[in-house]
Amino acid sequence: MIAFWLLPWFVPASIVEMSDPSAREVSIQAMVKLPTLGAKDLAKLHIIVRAIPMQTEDYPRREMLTVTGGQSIRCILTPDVLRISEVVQPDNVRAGLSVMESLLRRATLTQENLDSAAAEATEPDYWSAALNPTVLPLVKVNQDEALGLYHRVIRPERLMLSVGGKLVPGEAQENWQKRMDAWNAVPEPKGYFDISTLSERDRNSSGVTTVDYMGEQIPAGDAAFSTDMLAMIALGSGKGASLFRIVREKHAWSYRQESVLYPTMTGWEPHLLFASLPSDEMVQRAETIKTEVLEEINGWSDEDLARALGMSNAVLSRNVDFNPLYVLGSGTLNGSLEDRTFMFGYWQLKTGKPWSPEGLLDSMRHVTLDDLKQRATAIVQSMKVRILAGG
Amino acid sequence: MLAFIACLLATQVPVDQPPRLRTILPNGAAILVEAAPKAKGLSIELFISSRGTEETPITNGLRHLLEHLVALGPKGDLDRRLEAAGGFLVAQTSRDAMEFRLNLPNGKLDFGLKCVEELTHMPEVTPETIKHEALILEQEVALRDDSAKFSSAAWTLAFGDKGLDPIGNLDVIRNATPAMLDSVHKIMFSGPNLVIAVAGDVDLDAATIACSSLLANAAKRDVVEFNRGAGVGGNTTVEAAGIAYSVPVPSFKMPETAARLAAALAIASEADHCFVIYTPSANSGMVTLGRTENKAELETIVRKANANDLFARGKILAKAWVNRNLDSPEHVAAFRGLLLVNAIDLKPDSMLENINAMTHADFASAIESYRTNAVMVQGR
Repeated sequence: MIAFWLLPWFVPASIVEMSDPSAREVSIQAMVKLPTLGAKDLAKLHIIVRAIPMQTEDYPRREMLTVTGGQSIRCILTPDVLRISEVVQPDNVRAGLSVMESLLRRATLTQENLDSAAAEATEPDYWSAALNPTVLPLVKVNQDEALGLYHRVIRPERLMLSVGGKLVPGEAQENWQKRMDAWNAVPEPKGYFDISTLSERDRNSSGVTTVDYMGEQIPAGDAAFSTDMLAMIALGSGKGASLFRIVREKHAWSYRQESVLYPTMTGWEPHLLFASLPSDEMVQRAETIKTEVLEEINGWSDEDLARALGMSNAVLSRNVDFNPLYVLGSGTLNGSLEDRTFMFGYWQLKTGKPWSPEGLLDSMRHVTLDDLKQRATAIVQSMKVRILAGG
Repeated sequence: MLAFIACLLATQVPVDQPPRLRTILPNGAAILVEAAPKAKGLSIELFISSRGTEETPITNGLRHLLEHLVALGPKGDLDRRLEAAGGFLVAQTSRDAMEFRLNLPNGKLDFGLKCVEELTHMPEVTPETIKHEALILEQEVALRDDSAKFSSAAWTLAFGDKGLDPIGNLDVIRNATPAMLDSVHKIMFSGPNLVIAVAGDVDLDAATIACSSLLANAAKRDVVEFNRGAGVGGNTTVEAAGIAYSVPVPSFKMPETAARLAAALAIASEADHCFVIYTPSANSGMVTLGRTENKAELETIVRKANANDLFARGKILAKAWVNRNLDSPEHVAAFRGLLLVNAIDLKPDSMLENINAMTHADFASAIESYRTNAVMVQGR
């Protein structure tokens, strides 16, 4: 038994390459699927991710910036993954992979860096707070427990590396495989549980009131995902969408209103969300909007289906704003090399399938108007409203 | 008309060689077409200069209100038609120009230009439509992010009434009349103020002819250039989290502007979560370096920044900034179009040349400007 525990745990490298010969740079991104964490560990991990890019055993911050040509290395936490992202010149891919491996395995997490990262903690913006109203507990984290949590979360079997841009095909894969072969991660310890739970905020501290309608979770890899996504686009993506027409154009109650597919550990939460100046009538307004959206779905025509398909084409083929997949932690996906490289690896990690915008669009083209109305109605009917008053 | 335009084109001397063609029409309107044969999409941008309608405290917000109303299209359904065709429209107003960005699938040039043509018309405006749109603008103002608040406060201090925030004054917007908007529209949408920039898989000549026929009839009008002044430093506060340092800069084409932008980008790279804001202009402007978290850290970084450590990185980051603005048809049309609507001689190349020619002393002086010449905006 003891022998088993000491055996190194070799796993095949999970890496995808996205070649784009027209790109000037190469994006290297690591995504780690998060394990289930208690509230305190999650709060600590939020501090740790800020400290990871500050220094590793192999690279001080300034040397990492030399490898990336001065561009910041980003390390962020979303509800389902921990993501590290860097950009390098095409002739610097090997050095970039070396930095990435070091960030994943040998971040120093000094007490000074952890304290500095803890001091950076800020309130989320109004949009993020509305989508994820949980409040992290106040925690202090020392170096030993930070390193323990870091090694517990960042493990090869939960890792996907995505490399995109001007690549020599296979170069990154070969180099990364060697690095993974040398990663002797010990098995994940058992019997280590933080069972503290998260609390939820009841106000939006930004001064803006948010009204969020949240529906039932859609499982990752759902066979009907194309219909779900098309319905969300018809409801709230773009300026011809129902939410825009009702909330902004009809009532002038908001400047920003969108549909969002928010990532969870096992799938997606559908949200319809708008932000507004505070008003005493917000509860009534929230009910009015839901009723009017349902009425509008009932009246959708082939024109609405065509608009939803056109908008899907724009967001999936050309990465126009208002992609409902809210996978970056803040903001929407755009056509940048960084975002495209991320989606290439993220989708594989999340669903076990390759990211194929064309395949998704093709499935959407087979959705009938009746299917669309039925699915949109079911999503909206399942939605519960959550109002976070501003101030 | 097309024969006339073709004849006109034959007599134009393109300033740039392919892959792009720049054309100035007799009425002063300008067209830039850049071919990107493998592009996934087509970008068409209509820029309308603010020359002649520079805002004062009593007109601050009229252009922004007009942008909202124009973007709806003559029948209020422009977005819906664009989106059904796989396109998308974004509109925005800055101090120097109003901008309508159309992102379209390949092969939709004619359709896109038809939409642009609709955007050049003054929409039907009533007191009721103004009242309704003012409510939406009130919502927009409430959602401004902190970095925009820092930038706005810096501009106000540096340039006073010549640097008013283009988002506008809500009282001015609420009290606008159709006649006021009509008068602003007439000046703005005259020949010398108009630019169309196209980038994508298009034929340069055919696209230029199509754009020319759209703009050729715009009224010719004398233009008086606006001088914003040099700007001053100082201290101010804003109701937002963080801190910002803004330094006034001259025109986009000046070496000092390249150096101060490079310095801001290099300083910002010393910590995560910093932001740099610079909108290219033929006029004087501002480079804003800020942080909306833990302001003490940025204060320390600015205090300690030195050219020896940052010079090489600043050059690389400034070049990357220019190149990122040219890495897709959408960015090309936005960047080159914005430069062209500011002045005929503004080009990305001039910034790249200035970055290449920048000396250590130029860069050191630019770093120092954030300590001595800046508008320091203190947040919470």
